[in-house]
Amino acid sequence: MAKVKKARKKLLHRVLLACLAVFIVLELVAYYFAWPRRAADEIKGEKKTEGESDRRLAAQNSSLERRIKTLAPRGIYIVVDSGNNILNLMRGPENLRRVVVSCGSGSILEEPGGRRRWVFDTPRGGFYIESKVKNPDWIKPDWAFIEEGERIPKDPRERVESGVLGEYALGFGDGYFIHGTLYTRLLGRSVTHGCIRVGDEDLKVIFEKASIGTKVFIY
Amino acid sequence: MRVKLLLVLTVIGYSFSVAGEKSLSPGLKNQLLIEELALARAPSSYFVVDLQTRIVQLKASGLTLREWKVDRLRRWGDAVPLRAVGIEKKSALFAPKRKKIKPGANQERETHELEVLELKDMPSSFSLCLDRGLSIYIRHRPDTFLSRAWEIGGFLRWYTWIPLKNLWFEVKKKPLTALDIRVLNKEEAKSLYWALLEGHKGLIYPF
Repeated sequence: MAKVKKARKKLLHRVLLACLAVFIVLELVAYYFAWPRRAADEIKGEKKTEGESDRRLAAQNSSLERRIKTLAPRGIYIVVDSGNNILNLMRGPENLRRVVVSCGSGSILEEPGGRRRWVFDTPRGGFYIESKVKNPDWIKPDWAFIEEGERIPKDPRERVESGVLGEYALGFGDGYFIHGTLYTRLLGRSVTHGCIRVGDEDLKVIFEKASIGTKVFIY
Repeated sequence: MRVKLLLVLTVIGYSFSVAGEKSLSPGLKNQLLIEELALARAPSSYFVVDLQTRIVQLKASGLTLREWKVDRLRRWGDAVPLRAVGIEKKSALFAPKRKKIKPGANQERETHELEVLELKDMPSSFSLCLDRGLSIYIRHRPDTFLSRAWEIGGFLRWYTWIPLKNLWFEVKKKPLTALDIRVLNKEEAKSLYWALLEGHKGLIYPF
């Protein structure tokens, strides 16, 4: 009995050793193939010849870098960090004003019955200021009524709500606005339905500085 | 024995992280700049991972919106693609979930009860699956006991599982490039998760 046990133990050890050996060999082969390779130094459709070609490419590269730089806005532009709820009013590399704002909550609203669904994110990417409105009224969309658990009105006049968007609103497309808020204590938190809420004083400065066509970058 | 093994692994790790560091040839740079010009002309933002300067940038119209410093960089496999790549999938073990609004319950009355998705809810360790066989693993410099333990798991995965995965891709004749990017702290990693979206396009500037 003791002999059988010893033999089994020996066999188990051998199997384990064999597995380990296979694993090590496999890893070594894997390391050989996975060794980091450098980007190929060839360009399709073009033969690399002399230093002259390199000089031509270097000149082309400088021109490309300049072209990329010229795409950047020259005057005033707005950069919104939606994660940190910060809006930066910029002119070139100069930060004119750093403003604490409120961006989209990322929450989901589903219409009872499941016909429609809204995701309250602030859109990301590059936009333009498309409209500037003083003393704006809020035309409540369907989701606002659904969220409140109210019926959706048939009369468009019942959708108009005054005084909730502050004194100014700057539209940047698809119904999204940079506007004021009654909930100033929530500035710095992600609580909106996608718009960017700003405190009164900062909103006034943004409204004065930004014009139609001002670039807005949101990330 | 263990010390020797650790030393060998450290040397291997270091050699991978600095493998082939030299300035980019004008030809490669030209190709990448042409790609970047196309990305900069598009209205959406794009990302740039510069392996040489060890910086991740979020850009739009050629303008740098945000930068993240890379604390440590490791890679395996094929050379990085010299064309624009798109993020196909962003995954994390503890991916944040969107909250659902209950119709009729106004949230804004009580600050402490806000059910919103914020930067603090984002994971600090995640992976990006991009097209052209590129995978990017993002983590942060460990600061707590738990994150150090997590780092050991990451170390084992990086030095055992990823090469084996690469071997499997090699057999299937599929490209695979794996990048392991460690940023300075948890907040930086979370903001990277926030900033990089599925569908986002970008470029990797190689060594």
